[in-house]
Amino acid sequence: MLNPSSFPTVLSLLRDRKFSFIALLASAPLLLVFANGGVAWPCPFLHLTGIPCPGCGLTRATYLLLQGDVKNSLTFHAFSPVVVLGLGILTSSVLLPERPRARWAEHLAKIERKTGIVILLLVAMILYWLGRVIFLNSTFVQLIQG
Amino acid sequence: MAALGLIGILAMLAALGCLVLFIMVLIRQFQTAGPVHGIIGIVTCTIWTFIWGWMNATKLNIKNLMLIWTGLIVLYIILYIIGGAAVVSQMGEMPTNMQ
Repeated sequence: MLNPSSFPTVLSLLRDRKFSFIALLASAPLLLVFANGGVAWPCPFLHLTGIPCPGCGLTRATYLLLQGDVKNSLTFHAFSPVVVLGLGILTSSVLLPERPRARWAEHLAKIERKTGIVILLLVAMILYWLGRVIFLNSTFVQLIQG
Repeated sequence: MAALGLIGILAMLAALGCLVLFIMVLIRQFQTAGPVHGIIGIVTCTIWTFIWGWMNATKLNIKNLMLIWTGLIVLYIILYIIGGAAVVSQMGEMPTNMQ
């Protein structure tokens, strides 16, 4: 049987400032383009199948949450607070000096190993997506396609 | 109208190419980085897999794959914008006072 604690941790990647910087840099244009009414990363899965993927709506939801619009943000995607938290962790990893960053990353990796929080969140996100696709299909598609 | 159809078909082909290349890199991601990274790749609209792919392109010898994927994404975004603009301009040409 698979043991999630044996998986390589994701949060230990935060030790690498270059990685954090690239991840943060990649999310900035998505939010900026969206803020100006565009779509920076059209989802090929949605385009081909007509079904939104598990991450569809997450950019909009994150943008709305950063603007303080909690209700609409959660309507678009319930996992937007997790993304905002992730962006905060990435920012801290970029800004912290070498030693505290290494300690911070090791601390987070330890929490991840102990609790399996990342895999739990991912499984919850997949279940959330399945629920939306199965029970709220037309509403979900309409919401994402605007 | 025909041009719009052609743009739609091209966008669909570019999206299909993107999806195929995403699956190819995703398989490498599952094999090399583990299931957690693979699932993150799935739930982030392919973005995580794309970043991870470029960060490991030399190590995994997938530079050509990543270049083709990047090209297709750029093409897809351009077609998406052109398609959107064409639809908006056609809507503007429609008669507004229908009786």
